Amino acid sequence: MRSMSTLFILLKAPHEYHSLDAMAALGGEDKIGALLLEDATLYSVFKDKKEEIADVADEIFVMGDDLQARGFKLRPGEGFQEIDYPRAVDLIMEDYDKTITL
Amino acid sequence: MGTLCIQLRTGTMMNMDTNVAVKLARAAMDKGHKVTVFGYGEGVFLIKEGQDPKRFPNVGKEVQSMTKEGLEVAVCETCCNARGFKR
Repeated sequence: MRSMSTLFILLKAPHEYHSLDAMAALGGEDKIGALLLEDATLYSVFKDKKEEIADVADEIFVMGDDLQARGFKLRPGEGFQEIDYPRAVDLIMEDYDKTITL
Repeated sequence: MGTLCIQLRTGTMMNMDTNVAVKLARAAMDKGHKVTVFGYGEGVFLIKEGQDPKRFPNVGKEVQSMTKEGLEVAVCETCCNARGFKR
């Protein structure tokens, strides 16, 4: 049974992360959330990157403003939740036990 | 309510990280949380006076105004000295 939850904040473009192994290793058996900001929102755009992050994270949150600024929109039903800054604060302060920025 | 501490390690015009930090801080303060920002390395430029960016948001000015609403900002003094400016 999972006892802790960890939220990972990703800011860089998918190609700048060699892998998401660090996320899996640091998250361990915790519930893992991924909060995608800035260029990391592109994880929700490319098929192979979507699968890569979905393999590691239990929940994936995408900052709507940052995705729209790059000219993309989320398609519903693909496991990504579009959020705003007030919701990001709730994730960090209330929903998850700890936050790590990668 | 809790305390959100944000460690900032990038300069105000290197990328949008500082802007994201300020937006998060603003949203947290609006929800009643206490917010502290700690600038380290290039992050100390957050408190540099007289910033006048032409293509980036003026986060220095924004942060200065947020301190009047309770935002706490601390920076590494060694990092400031290394970059040649005093608080």
